[in-house]
Amino acid sequence: MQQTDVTEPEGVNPEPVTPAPATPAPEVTATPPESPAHDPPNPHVAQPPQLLDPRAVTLWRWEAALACALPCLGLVIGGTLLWVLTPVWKIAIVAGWSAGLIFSLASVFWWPRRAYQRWSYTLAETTLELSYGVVWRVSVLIPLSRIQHVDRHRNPFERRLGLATLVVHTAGTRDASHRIPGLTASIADELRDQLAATNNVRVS
Amino acid sequence: MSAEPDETGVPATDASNDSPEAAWRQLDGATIWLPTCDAFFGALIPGAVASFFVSTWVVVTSVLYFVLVPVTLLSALRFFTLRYQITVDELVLHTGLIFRRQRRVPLDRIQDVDVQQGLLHRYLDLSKVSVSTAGSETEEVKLNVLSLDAANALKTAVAARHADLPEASDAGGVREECLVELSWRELAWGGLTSNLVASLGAVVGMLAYFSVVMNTVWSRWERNISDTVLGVAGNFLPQEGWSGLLVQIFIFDEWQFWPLKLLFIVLGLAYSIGKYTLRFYGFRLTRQHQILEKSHGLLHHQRATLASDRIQALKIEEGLLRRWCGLAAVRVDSAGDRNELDEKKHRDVLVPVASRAQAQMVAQETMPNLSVADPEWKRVSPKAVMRGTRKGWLLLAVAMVQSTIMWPWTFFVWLPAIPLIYLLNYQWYRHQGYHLDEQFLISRKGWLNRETLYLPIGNAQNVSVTQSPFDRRAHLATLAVDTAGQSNTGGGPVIRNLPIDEARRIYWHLASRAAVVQPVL
Repeated sequence: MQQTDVTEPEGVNPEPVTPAPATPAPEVTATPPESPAHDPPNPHVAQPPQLLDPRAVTLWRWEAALACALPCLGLVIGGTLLWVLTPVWKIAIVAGWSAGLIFSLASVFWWPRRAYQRWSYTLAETTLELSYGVVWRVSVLIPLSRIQHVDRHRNPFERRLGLATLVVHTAGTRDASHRIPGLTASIADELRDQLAATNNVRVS
Repeated sequence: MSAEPDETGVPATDASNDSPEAAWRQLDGATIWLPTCDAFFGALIPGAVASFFVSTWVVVTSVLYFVLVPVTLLSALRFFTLRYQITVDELVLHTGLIFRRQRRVPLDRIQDVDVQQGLLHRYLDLSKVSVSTAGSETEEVKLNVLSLDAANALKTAVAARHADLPEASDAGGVREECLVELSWRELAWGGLTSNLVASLGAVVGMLAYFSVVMNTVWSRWERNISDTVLGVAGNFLPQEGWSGLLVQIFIFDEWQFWPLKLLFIVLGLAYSIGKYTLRFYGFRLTRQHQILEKSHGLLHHQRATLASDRIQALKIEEGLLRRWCGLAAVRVDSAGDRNELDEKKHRDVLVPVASRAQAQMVAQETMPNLSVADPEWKRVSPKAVMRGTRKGWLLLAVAMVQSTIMWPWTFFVWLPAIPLIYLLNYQWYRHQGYHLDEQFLISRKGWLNRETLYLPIGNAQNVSVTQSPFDRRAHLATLAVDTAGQSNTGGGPVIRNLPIDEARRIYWHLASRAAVVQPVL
């Protein structure tokens, strides 16, 4: 799993400004998704944006299923009780059930793929850029010299799938921390080492 | 517990320090009673207010037991157990009776030595010193009460230490440059136009208006409603004594109390102005190379220093009243002050009131590399006007519908708001702007209350461009820059309604510049 783009940031691929979004870096699994609708590339950096590991879609599906399970259960139990006990408000109960069902189905089946297509990060010589968001689109640029420390988180689902989340901390007040979820574990480690190495260079 | 410094609790294993001869000093004898006096004066006004609602005897005894006695005991304890020592490199502090604690603060890590003096302090040549460093949330060392000579000795030691560092030069105060000096007349104007006065006046005025309107203008039907509301409220409000009298005057109004109400309003205004003037009396802002020092206060004098290269962002505020008079205030964010716990310190306010030109001069003097304080402004997208107007109209529609259902005549009250909302948004659009050059991002917004924020690009921690679904349809975006330090100025600039291409351009420019400029942290 050689991430050529990430480990040689001097621009091994010498295409300074590519109007079309770059193809995803060589990934582990079979089917790379269709080229996502990315924002225009940064003319200041030569590196193309990197996508997350495609297994992140599965990860998010599992996480959504877990997050929706308990409230759905509560909705079913509560709705059944209300249905049996009170003669009125059946419309509201049905509406609540269907809303819960639609929301759960959407968050498990529809949302993760969309979110995956919008997620990308770019590690350049002096900056790290993150771009994500389906409805609310966000792009964040972090100068590497501002990074205070980098954490790695792995929840049980991530461990099972071989993924990890990196959390980058800066010294800001509002948006001090930024998360990069769904990275392949080895890539996450490489990225973390690279970010830490940059800091060492700055200090010395 | 004798008063001899050498015998009380100095640990046998003294520091591996080179100069055992550095004298152990202790606090001034006035420590035992002076903080108690301060606490007493501080409790006077709250106690007076509280005695409106509970009996005076309760107030007196609770102040005595819960405030004065503990303060006296703690101060006496501190006097007998605190010892400090100024060595070549460090300030060493020993405190505690049962649990002994030693704190060592390297002198060159000390950011500032803050010397405060109340009225009594000045009469007796005493002071309250607090020492803070860059990494601390609160003061590292607090010495209350110290004689003025001892305080100056500490300041000299710190300054002498800084003099060894390359960026500081002679600490003798030779090249001290006075940036701002405010006369009491300027301060009185500042007090008159400060937000405190405006809001106080507004509250009292509204009370007076409310009571007048309810009794004379409204019809009998509305009067019944208001009587019912007041009847219910009256069960909770005090009816007797001084407080009852105030309630009678201001809420259950009678015509003949009009001049009294006016007097109260005038007294309230005078109190606010007086308080403001006393707080900032004799304000001076001086600069000595990179260190700014501001000193002010009549009853409670204080001096605070700030290194100008620790300033993260600077904001010039022109509130509504101030703009009419051509005045402004200057506020800064600085790294190293995590929490502003003591509100009286006002460390965030650099200049409380000054003319606009003076404020811009201060901005240029304190932020190196700032070429022009009032540059050419670029505007955001004109779509901002209609977007804001639509939002305003939506809220207006909701309010209109609700009130028209209850009282149909209120429909005509809301009508003038329709063009007013458009006018407000248009003015906000016209007065919003930004300017980006190699060193700074300057942004300005607000029509009646204007704020100008100066951000050195090197202080940007990260930059983000955000688009809501509505933004995407209109091809606009919001640019936000995050800074370090606490957010007295409200954090870094947030510029909304930028055309997306422009937002990206600024975004890339900021990040690439910030990457090469080293932060001060």
